[in-house]
Amino acid sequence: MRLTKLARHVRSGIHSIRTRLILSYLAIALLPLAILGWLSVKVYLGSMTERVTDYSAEVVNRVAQDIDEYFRDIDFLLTRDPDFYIDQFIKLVQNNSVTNSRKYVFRIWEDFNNLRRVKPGLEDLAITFGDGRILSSYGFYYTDYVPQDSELKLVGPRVNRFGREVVTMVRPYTAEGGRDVWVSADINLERLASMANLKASPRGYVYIMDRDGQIVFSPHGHEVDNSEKVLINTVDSEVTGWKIVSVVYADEVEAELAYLKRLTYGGIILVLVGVGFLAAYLSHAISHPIRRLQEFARQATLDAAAEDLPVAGRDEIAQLSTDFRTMLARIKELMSENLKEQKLLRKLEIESLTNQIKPHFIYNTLDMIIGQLEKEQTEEAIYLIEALGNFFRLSLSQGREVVQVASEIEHVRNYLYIQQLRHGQGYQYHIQVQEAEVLDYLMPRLLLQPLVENAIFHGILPADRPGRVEVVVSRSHDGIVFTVADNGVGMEPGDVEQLNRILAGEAAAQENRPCFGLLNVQKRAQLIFGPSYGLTLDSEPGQGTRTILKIGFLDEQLALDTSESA
Amino acid sequence: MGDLHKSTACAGIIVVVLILACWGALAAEQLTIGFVPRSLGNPIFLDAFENAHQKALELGVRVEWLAPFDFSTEGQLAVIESLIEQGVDGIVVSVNDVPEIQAAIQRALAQGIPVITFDADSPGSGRLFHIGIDNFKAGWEAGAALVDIVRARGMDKQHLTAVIMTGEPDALNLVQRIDGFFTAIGGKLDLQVDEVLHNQDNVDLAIIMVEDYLKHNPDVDVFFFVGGWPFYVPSDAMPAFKQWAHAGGIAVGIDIFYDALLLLRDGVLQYLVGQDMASMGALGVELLVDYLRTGRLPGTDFVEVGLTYASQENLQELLQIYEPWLVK
Repeated sequence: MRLTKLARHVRSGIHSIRTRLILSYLAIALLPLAILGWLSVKVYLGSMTERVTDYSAEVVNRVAQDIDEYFRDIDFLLTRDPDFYIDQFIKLVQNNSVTNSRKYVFRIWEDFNNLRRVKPGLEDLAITFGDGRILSSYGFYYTDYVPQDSELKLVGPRVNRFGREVVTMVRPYTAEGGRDVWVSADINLERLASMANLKASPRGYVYIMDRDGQIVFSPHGHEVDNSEKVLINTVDSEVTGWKIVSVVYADEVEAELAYLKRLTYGGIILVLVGVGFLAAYLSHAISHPIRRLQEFARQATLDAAAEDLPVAGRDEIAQLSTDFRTMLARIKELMSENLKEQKLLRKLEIESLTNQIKPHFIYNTLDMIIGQLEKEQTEEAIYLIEALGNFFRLSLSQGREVVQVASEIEHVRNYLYIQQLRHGQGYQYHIQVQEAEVLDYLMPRLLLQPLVENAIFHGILPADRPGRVEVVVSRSHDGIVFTVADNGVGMEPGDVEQLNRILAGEAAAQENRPCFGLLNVQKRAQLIFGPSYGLTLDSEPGQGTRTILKIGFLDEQLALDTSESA
Repeated sequence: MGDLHKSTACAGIIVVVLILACWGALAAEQLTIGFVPRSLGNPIFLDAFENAHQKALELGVRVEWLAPFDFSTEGQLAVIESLIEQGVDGIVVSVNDVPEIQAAIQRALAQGIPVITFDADSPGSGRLFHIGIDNFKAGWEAGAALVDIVRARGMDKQHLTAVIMTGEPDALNLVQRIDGFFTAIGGKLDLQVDEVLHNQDNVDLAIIMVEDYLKHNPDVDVFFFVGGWPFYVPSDAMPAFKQWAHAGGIAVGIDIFYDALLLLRDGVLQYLVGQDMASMGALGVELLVDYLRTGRLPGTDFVEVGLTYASQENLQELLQIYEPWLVK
């Protein structure tokens, strides 16, 4: 249950304007950054690979140059002009005599050791004889290695007599009597290592390979690390024929990119954080008023005070809030007016009803019925009772506020009949409906009866002569017109005018000249149909009065609304 | 007659076969002796070098002559280790009597390689025996000669100052010579040693040190050379030394060879005691090969070679005996 609620909350959050705004802003910021970062990495990787390759080529060229220079010097030592002391020593040895060799052997040792001192990396110089005897800077001894080559040759790496790893450069000694004699130089691997100590990258290295593909020197011993993807650059040494190989690990190049990547990612994160805050602020600035408005609307539906809505800013949302507040105020005002109107209408109806059901009206009518019964005018009595019953039934109309025109006409007819009997047939009445279709129209009840009552009591009866009440119902283009005319005493023009002004709301009703019934009808008609509808009076003294009531068409919905609001 | 011919032919074949067999066995057993002087750069060992090789030729063995050019214990250790590694049959060394060398010799002995010393002994190493001079006696003879010279000059009542040049402080033979020297002059001369110069067994350095010292201390009375390191150059190559000696300085020393005799002739040196390095070389090979082949030892752990003496009295005779080396 909680999960469902949480999921609903999340879904609601995701679909909120604020979330969508934030995600949109982030997407807008992330997309160009990601594209730019990707392009930067690609371009930088290419550039860096090219740079590393160039530098690696420089490295191997430099190493090859150093090696060539060094071995050229060594070869120069080996190919120098025939040395008198060496020549004499060779002759003595080849004659198997070392007697009186001291002069030569000592000079050779001294010479060889001096060369060792001045040439770093030169581990030993030696003269090797075909029988394995060797005179070197370390003495005069025997060796298992006897060169057989007739040309310059590089041998090794190998471990020399004293446990040092060396590369031996050997060539035949060319002096007289130097047959089967070789002169050689041992170069220690530390020297090669120092010459190959250039590298194109922190983990990269340079190794040296001979013509046969054997490793001469490598920082990894006599092997090459093949466990990783590498960038290789090679160059051949002219003097030695060796291949100088520079190795750069590919991941090192990529590792250098890591900085750029970190920078890019950092930038993206920073921008995203910044955009996130900005988006949160902007979305808050936009969604907050909307949410306030939403909250306010919700409160408004609960009849909360619309005036409490705080509206800040000048943007569209603020304007919308202002309009919304105005609209709510107007709605409230209209509702208030409507309430007042409905209350008034109800009051008017009650008053109208109360006015009709006056006690003496009832008593007199009942007296008339009793009198007719006493006179055994049973049929008239029944008819009168029936008219009275219809009168009350129609007055109440089962609580409905809207009745058919036919019903209202019937109500007036009963009223006129009863009043006619009450007042001794002192007047005639006639009801004329000009268009029968009008009878089916709807209208507020008890609008017509007050007019008829006025015609009887204020027109016909004061005239003290037989009178006539004429009721005409007709249809106009915008409503239904009821005309109630009498031939009674009529009114002075000033009174008519004053009365019409009162009905039009232009003047107040006078205390001594009550016109309660007319005002009641007028207000009710105008409340329901508007100010263009209502009553107008026309009268001439001694000629009678004509009252015209115009009402609008009530459709079913309006009738229903009117009835419900009442 | 025919039988006689057949018998003679068979005997000849047998003899040839036996000779070839013995020759093959001999070749298969050709011994290798490692010879380790203190340094290659000190010409004093050249006599030993030549004579050791000559003796090796005579005995049908190999000699491997190995040393650092300039003396150093580390260099000697590397050489001894290389000989052990090569599996030579015996080793002859002139070393400092220091623990590192002792240990190296003991390693060789432990691997069945007999080791003897020459010139400079290492009695603490367990070597089989030592071949050399009586170093104490050599020093004593030099001291006694100094006393005679001083007395002859009427300086024996004076307070004398002296400087001593030696090689390595740990060389036992040099220490013994100095002991003998002071024993000889003890109570006879009022000799005060102002300085002891250590030349690290380096000939070139020895010459520089002598010249430098005498330039700054020309008033020193006596110079005692425990070995002949600076004697390989003509007197004119050491002007300060020559000037000092001609001004009355007295120089005595140990080691006799042709160039040293020339210095004696020029009056730069007054007396020399010589050691027979040639015999040391020859005996080193001979006695060790004999031990390897027969198991016989000399019967003593010190095989002494004789001393020779040089002064103005026998100079011309000696110049006829010694040949110039011309190594410097």
